Amino acid sequence: MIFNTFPFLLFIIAIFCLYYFVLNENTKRQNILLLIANYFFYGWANWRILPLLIITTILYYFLGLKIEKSKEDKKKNIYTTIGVLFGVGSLAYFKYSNFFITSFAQLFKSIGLQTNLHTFDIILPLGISFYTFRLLSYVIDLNRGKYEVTTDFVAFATYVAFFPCILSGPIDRPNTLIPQLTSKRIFNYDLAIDGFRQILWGLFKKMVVADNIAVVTNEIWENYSLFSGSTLLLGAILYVFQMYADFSGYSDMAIGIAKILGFKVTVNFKYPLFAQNIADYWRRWHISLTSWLTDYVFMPLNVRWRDWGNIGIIFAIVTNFVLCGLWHGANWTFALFGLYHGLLFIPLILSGTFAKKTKIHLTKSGMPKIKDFGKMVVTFILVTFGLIIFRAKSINQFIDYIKHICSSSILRIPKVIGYNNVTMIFSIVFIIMMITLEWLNKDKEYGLNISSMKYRFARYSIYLFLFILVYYFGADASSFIYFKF
Amino acid sequence: MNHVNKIMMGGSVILGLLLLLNLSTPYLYRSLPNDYERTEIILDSLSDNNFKPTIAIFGNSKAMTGINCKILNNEMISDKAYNLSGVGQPLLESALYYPYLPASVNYVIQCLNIPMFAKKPAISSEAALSFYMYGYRYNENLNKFLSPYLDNYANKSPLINNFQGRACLKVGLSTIIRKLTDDDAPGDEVSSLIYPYLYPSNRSELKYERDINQLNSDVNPLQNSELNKECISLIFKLNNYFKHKGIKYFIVLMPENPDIKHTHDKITKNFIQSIENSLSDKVHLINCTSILPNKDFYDAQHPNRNGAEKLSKMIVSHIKSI
Repeated sequence: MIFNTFPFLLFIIAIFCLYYFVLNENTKRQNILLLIANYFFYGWANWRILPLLIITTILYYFLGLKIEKSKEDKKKNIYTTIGVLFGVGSLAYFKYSNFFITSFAQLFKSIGLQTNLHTFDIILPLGISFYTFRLLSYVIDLNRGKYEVTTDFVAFATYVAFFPCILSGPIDRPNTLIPQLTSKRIFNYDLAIDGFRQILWGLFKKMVVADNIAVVTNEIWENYSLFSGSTLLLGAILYVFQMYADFSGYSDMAIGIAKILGFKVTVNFKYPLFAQNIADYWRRWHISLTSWLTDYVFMPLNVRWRDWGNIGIIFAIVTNFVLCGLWHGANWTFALFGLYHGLLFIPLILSGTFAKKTKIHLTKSGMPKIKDFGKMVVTFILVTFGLIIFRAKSINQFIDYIKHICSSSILRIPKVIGYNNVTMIFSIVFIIMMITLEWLNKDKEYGLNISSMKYRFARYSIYLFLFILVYYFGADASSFIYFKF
Repeated sequence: MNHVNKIMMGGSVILGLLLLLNLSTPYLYRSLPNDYERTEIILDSLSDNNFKPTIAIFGNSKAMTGINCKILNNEMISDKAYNLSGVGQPLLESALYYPYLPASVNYVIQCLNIPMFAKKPAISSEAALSFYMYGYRYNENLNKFLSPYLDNYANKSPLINNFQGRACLKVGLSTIIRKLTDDDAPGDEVSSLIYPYLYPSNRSELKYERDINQLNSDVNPLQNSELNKECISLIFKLNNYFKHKGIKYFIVLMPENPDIKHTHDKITKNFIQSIENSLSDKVHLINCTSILPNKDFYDAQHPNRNGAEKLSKMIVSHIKSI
């Protein structure tokens, strides 16, 4: 079930009414309702993958209890290792087994050995990357003694399968969501209104900005050898905005829906397009994933290699980013994407600015100072290049795409075919609207957080305008880019 | 006002707004340009008492670019031919116009692409929507054998139709902007009922090459396909319908571009043979599949003006031979 569809609208209205009007203030019953809703939502796409989620939840619930009850560290470590191996193993099987098989077969073939390896016919369970990371952090943090075990199975299972976040995140940590699930929830008007506003913003970003850009970028990428270098460059730039609007739009909708149900979930994006360097970019992009990787991959590696100085940090960061890249999917392009971003950190590590937080300095008119704007542009160019690797189906296609960009046709006026030229113009207008609102509200949680705007009429006019844009310009429900990760 | 009331009121405002946008959609649809404007032009012409064609041409964009009624009118002086084809107009969509043809019509020329014979008769939801928006009334006489294929379009709720038509603002603005900015945008000729040629410029080799490569990389769409019995049966029923009215019904198999490899392979040849075997005894069939060389195509699919001249003359010679 996709958020921007009619079935979901009916689903959320039914849940909302039952949740607040029938089961109001009864936390246990509200959680049972949420759990049923979670499984219904998850099973809607493909009910055959639901048992895996339920079995995995039960397993980790008991592992959690065992870790908590174990007095010896050795036993705790054994149960934690079982949890980590099961999580990583299921990810490896469902997501990466065919990738490894074909990669080995190609490797053997390249050295003249014939293999008889066959790929498996595997269904990739939706959201597996998201709920597995949630479960891994649960057992690891229990082992580290960061919080107490949850004995309430319903609350735990609801945390794992929380429907606003199960398909594309944010990846909430147990200490963010579980305490909210076990405490009393009554209708919070201000939070709910904020949630509605954030959903509207998410719908605009996804349906109006991302889906319109997708029409253009899909045409360019599918026929890239026939277009001029300038068109390919524009396609690459537009793809940055598409990725951002698509994924952050989904996150806004997820966070907004959670707010309506009385939950505050992790913020996933903090205006990454205004980042001033790559480290800053990753502190703002898919925050719940990057912070997860920082805590469970980078930090342990950094500690292990601390005696190597900067070299140790570089190794830790590159490993972290290669894994981050591979998390997105089973393709060497994703590994290269991660490696590329890892390598971009080297100058920052060597200059000592890697962990330094940046601040945008503004002119009197509220625009960024030229130096800061220059940094933003450079970061944007680096990100654009990275996303060409990310979007390519293979490394050869990536190289080919770059070669075409670097041809003499880069000087031509970018042009696609037929109606898509107009869609391109619309997309650029929508991008300007999105970026302007986000820039004006960059200190707020999301771009449409205009509740403090002085003039009520102006505020409602903006809501109405966005609503009309979503209605008339929103493409029909399409899947989200991050669903496949 | 408590919070529940506020939420209820907010919800009502949103629902009211949605309803307003929904109900205003047909007006926007009709007042802005879109790809189905020809539906309106054809329906308006058919309801005009002064519109008295003797030859009516139906078909999709291949028929729009491929049949020039000026040539038909010059060659058959006593007749008045009109091209009532439209973009993506399949047999079923053409059939929706049949009951409204004036009594003056003597010949109906239905142009069809070969792959259409492998599919169950259908109409796209966009086309069905355009019929609704332009106020089409489903005809009882014809409905009895068309209704199984109409997927309840005839009985769909107006609210759902309006919701599905909401892209009209985007399409309308796109069409206006495209006309202002794009040299390749279809010109005003597209609304002609004589020769609605779609293309203002010459063939774009870039687009041509892309389309040909794309089609040549695909497998033959007729692979493992058989003649669809329902399609053949519908043609027979429509033929009888016209027979009773004293109208001669022609089926034209439209030209295929020889640059597309699978248009002249064994699978396609056998398929065309099976169409001829099924239809030629009972229906006037004109096979034009291989009459045009590649230079007579504007793009991978559509004949250009030269191609239209040859095709139109071939149709004239067939009509005259009867």
